[in-house]
Amino acid sequence: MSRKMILRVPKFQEPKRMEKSEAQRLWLLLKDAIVEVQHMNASTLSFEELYRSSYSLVIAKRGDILYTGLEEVNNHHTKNLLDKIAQAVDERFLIELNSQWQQYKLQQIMIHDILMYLDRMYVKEPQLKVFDLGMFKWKQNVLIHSQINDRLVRMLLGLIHMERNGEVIDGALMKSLIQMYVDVSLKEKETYKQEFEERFLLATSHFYKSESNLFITNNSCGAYLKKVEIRLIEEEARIKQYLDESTGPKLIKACEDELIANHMQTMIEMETGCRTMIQNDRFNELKLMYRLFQRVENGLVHLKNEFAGYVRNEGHKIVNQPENLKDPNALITSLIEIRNRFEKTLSQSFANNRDFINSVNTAFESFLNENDKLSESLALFIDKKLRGGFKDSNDQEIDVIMNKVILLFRFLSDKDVFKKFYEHYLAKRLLSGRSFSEDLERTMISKFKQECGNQFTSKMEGMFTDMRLSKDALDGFKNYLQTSVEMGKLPKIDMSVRVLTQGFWPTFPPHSCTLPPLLSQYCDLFTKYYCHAHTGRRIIWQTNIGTAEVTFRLPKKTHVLALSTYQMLIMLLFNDAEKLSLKQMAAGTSISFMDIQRSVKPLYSGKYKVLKRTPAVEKSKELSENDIFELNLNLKCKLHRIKFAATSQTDSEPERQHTRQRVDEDRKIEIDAAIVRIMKSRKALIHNDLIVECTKQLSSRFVPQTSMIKKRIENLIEREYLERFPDDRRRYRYLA
Amino acid sequence: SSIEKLYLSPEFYDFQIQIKQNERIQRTFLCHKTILWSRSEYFQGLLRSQMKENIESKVIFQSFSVNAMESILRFMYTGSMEINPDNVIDILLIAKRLFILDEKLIPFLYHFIT
Repeated sequence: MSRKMILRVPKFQEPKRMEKSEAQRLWLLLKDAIVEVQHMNASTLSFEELYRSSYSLVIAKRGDILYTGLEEVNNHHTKNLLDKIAQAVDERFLIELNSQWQQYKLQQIMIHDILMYLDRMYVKEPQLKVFDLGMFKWKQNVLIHSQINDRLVRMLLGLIHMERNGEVIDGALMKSLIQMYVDVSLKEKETYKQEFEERFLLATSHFYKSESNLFITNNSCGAYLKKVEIRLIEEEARIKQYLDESTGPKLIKACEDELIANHMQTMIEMETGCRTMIQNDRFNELKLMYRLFQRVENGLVHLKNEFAGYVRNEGHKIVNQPENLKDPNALITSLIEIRNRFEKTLSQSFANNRDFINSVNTAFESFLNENDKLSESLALFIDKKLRGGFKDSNDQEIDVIMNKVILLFRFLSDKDVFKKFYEHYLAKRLLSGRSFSEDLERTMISKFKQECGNQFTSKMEGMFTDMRLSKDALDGFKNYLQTSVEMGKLPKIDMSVRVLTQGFWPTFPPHSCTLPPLLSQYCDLFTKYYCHAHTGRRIIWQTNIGTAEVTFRLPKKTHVLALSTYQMLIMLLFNDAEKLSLKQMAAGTSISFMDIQRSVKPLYSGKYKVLKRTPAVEKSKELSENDIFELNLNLKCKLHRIKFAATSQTDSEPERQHTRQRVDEDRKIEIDAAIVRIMKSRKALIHNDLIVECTKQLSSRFVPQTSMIKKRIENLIEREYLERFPDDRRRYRYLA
Repeated sequence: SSIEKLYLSPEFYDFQIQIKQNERIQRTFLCHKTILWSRSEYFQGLLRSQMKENIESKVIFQSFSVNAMESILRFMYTGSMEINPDNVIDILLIAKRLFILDEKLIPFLYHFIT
């Protein structure tokens, strides 16, 4: 067909003009037929004959007779139908209306079919199409007639009300009648919306308003939520069953408003409500609540705020509980526990919603930084784990705990304080040989590294390097001793030395003591050996963190005592004395009295007592200078080797103060560096901007106090890094 | 194609189209309702009406050109037909009257006439 050909064809003949009488005859023929169709007597009619008649009329330009005639016939017919339908009583009314409507629709299709040529070739806007004309007449004369419309809507709504109350109604009838409103709407379902939908939605809101008020007063929140869910499912089904789909969103919105939005506050606050559910980990109920609240505007905000508030409150209780303040292990364990619990709530009930997670995290951040205990407690918690607390856990469990530690760590605002404490306890573990596993130590450190970068862990890694190098140095030293001339003159002792690079390790408060001559000689030998091997290095002996093993000979038994260096020095004094006062011990060892006190305590008050106080004073714990001790020769112990704590388990207050001070020192340097960095790039800056910028830069490590930044700025001005603008004192200039 | 085979074949036919001229039957075409229904809106209307033709499965067209009707039927079954100066107007008349479902057909036929 695509090939273009030019053919010579005979002229197209104009149809002959039709006589008016002939046109009238054809119309009457059609009219009779239409009336037959309207009385359901179509079977004797000839489709072709009727079609041909209407075709002829249109061809002969007599369409107007046909169209106006049709309008009249429809008008007449629908008016007759109205009387018939309006007479039906009670439920007969709906059935009569529906059956007349169904027939009418079929008739209109048939009428449209035989008048197809008219419909296509004659009807022009704004005239209605043949079928639409039929619908319009039905609407005008039947549906919106005062005898029908109100009665119909009331009955339909009545049936829906009954169905909502649990009765069974005829869904097919409902669908047909409701669809009628859609069918007679000429555009955008206007009749349906105006005459039916609006009233239906109003009735729905009304129904659920009273139902929900009543139900929620007499039932638990959980029961109410279930009821709401069922109601929503029912309404969804109702849409599918007999409403127009365009009503769906509006209906659901109306239900959600009445059932959920209007009762949110109640559902949160009521006795069996949201609060109780969160408290009692009612995950399923919360999940349902989440699903339902999600459907209404701002619903989740309410739920989220309530949850976050609860989290903050619980956290606040934990970090301020007196028992937890004394016991870092219990504190961190409880924190991990509630974290786990809330994570479970988040995943099981709140679909791990990002907003919820964020607000829980914000809550954690706020209560974890409520007091300054947490940094140290967390460091102590890990310390305990790495000293052997992990012994009974498998790799996976360990990983979980470590990740939880990192999680808590992430919320700390003063990460530098934590770092100091962590380094402090790491050093202690390494030096006392108490670390349970180097692998685990390194795993933990690598997690911090991932979190905070190289700088954060470089010192910790340096400690491990020192430990390895010390071993090499010690091996070298032993070889050296064997070849050394001086060696022959000295009795053999097994000495172990660790060389710690200054800077990597926490600075231990300097303490002095007098070593026994033999040890002193060995130390000198090591210094000589080491400084020869590494020229330019200087060795400072840190005897206060050393350990020693001492043979303890009793009349019947011999024990080996594992002691700190200080304890060894004290015990050695008893080689030459039977009884010694603390004052004498201090004099004999040059150890400070406080260290003497702390060192002696485990020796006489622990499980195995190698010293006894004379006279024995059990209750009094405070030791005074004049308290006298002697060896406990009646020691009963099955163990050969007895281990003693160097001092009491946790750090003493002065030590903690010391760690704090060092953090402050470090902060000064960090703030100085930040200020100089900022000023170098910005050249000039107003005071407030500098404070803000500086705080921002440091926030990943700690939250600097404004007063401290101010002091550092003053200091930098004194040191001529910065100067004030002469005309504007609040502005600073960088001096290169 | 296999539908082509059905064209004017007596196999499984379920509908007849008769052409009458002056009360004499000129020709009876044996057809298939499904084809007619799918290719013409006229037949869609006829076949869903409850009127005589649908009940008897037969329609009688008065004064149609037999050749043109045959061409139209061929077109309904196969999608092609032969057009010449002698049949083009008759074909056009039938195509328009029966609302043959093919958006290109009528413009194409008009193209020859003007």
